[in-house]
Order: sequence, then C-alpha cells, then structure tokens
Amino acid sequence: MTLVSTLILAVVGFLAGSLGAVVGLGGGIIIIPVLALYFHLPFPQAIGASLVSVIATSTATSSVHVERHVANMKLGMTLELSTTLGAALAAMVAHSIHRRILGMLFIAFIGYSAFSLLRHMWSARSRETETEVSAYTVRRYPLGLAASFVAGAFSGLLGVGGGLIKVPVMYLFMGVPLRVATATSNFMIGVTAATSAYIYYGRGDIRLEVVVPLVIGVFSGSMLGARLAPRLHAVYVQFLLIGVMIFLAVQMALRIASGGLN
Amino acid sequence: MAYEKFTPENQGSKSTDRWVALILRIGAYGSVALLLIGLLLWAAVSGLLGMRVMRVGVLLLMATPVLRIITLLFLYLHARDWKYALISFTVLLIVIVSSILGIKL
Repeated sequence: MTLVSTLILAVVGFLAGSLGAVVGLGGGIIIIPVLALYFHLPFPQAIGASLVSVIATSTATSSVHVERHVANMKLGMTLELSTTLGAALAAMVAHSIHRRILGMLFIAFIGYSAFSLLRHMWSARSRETETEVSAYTVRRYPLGLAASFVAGAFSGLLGVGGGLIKVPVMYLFMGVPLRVATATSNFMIGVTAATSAYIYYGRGDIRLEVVVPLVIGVFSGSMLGARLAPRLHAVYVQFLLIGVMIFLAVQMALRIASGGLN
Repeated sequence: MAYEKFTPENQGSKSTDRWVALILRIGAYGSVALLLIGLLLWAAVSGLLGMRVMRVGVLLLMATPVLRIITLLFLYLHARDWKYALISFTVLLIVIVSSILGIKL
C-alpha cells in the first residue's frame, strides 16, 4: 500500500462514482475493468472491491429514498428472498469459473448496460418524467422473484449492483411506478452485495489497500454526482459513459484474447 | 402470493422509514468516516493502527445491510405484521447461512 496508488485509486473511484450517479448507474461497471486492466488486480479482488463500494453507495442513497418514503421496503424485502439466494450461489461458484469466461460475461454485461442506457435516452425524449406516485397494485411476484434471482446472481458473479435487470422488470411487468422501482432496487442492492461480499471476504478477496481508497472515492463522487445531476445535460454524460464503457469492453476483449487477464 | 395494493401511504409507516433511514445513515457515514480517519492515521501516524481502524470501517460498512434487515424484523414484529416479519427473518437466515457455507466451501 503506497501513498501514490492510494491517491490514484481514490481518483478512479471518484470519477466512476460521480459519472455513475449522474446517469443512475453504480460505479461497478467502470471500476471492475479498470482495476483488472490497469491495476492488474486478480478478477475476484476487483469484484470484491466493487461489491464494497456498491454497498456504500446503495446504503447512502437509499437512506434518502427511505426517508422520503419512495422505496417500498415490503416489496424490497420480499424480492431480497431471491436476490440473496442468487448472490450467494453465484459467489460460491464464482471462483471455480474460468477467469476468461467471467471476463466474457462481463463484456456481455457492459454491452447490455450500454444498450439499456441508449434505449432509455431514446424513450426519455418523449416521455414526461413522473413526479407524483399514485396507488399501484404489485403483480407477478413469481416473475419478480425470478428476475431478482438473476440480478443477484450477476451481482455475486460480476460485482455489479444488478439494478438494470430489476428496475425494468418491476416497472414494465410488476406494475411498480418507475420512481418506486428505482428506489426499491437501490434499497435491495446493499443486502444483495453484502451477501456475496461476505463470501469474497472469507476467501481473502477484499483487500483493504484497494477497498479503502476506492470506497472513499466512490462515496464522495456519488454525492457530488447526485448534486450535479439536475444541473447537467445528462445526455452528454450518458454519451461519455457509453463511450468509456465501450472502450473498456474492447480493452477487456483484447486482454482476454492475449490471455493476460489475471 | 396474492396481489398487493400499495399507496404512497401504506408502503411503510413514517416511524419505520425514519428508523431504517437512521440505521442506513449511521452505517454509511460512520463507516466512511472511519475509513478516512484510518487512512490519515496510516499515512501520518502509524500504519498498524491505521489499518485496524480501516478494517473496523470496512466491517461496519459490510454489516450495515444486515443491521437494516434486523431493524426491519423488529419493526415488523412490533407492528404485529407477521407476514413481513417472517420474510425478513428468512432473508436474514439466507444471508447468515450462505455466508457461513460460502466461506467454508
């Protein structure tokens, strides 16, 4: 642990956290490839570090959502029945999956995330954002539980939050208003990430010298991002983030092709 | 599971939301404060002491989601909402059992 590497990690966390908060994504999708590619961290350690930063941002932002009564904690707790199972099972099998396959799954996940962002930007042009939440009936619990299981498994396997899987299912299929779906998903992410983080911790894949500066950076970055978001043209930030994601995905593909992923 | 109708009012109660928000806030800000203090101690005073404070901070952060489940379990029990008390208890059980199993495997 050196002072220089500590500072660089804090800056990386800060950038990922602030970009993510403006767009509404966790920083995990940037943090993990950066740690694996440029800090030459073994993939499980990059995932462990990301999981702890995901817990920090989810906890801080959901405290605000809960206080404003936007998150539906009953729905969240119900769906946690399956996110935690998915997260635990995935974290248990993660170390026996070949790093190269994990890397390819991660690239696929970056692709899916970039696609979701683009689609969201496209539909946001016409749709008014909802301000008031009216009464709603939650339907299709089995589907929600299944989607949450998948989201949990992605979280345990790849170290991401999995909001991009849960939010559309809650909003489109379960009848949950978008604002509530986003807040509830965020509320669940802390428990989901913690479940797999314990397993990574037990295996020694949560390294203080990486996690501490990263969490401080991501935490302060996401606070700044959340403050700046209403004042920024989110479209430019979304394009920037999509560009960064595509760049990292290509770099990871090249690294996997040359066999250099730790 | 039956369809469930929610309104902004019955999603939770004001006091439940306040308690949970408080636990989350203490966990998030308290642990990040410990990480900062630990980092400063590590850089300026003593590496060993700094590392210890940082470890406590990371453990507090990782424990916060579970503290949140326990808080909700007690709040649901207090409100005699047996269905959600049982759900909270089951989630708690899954998290504890899987982390013990996962570390041993």
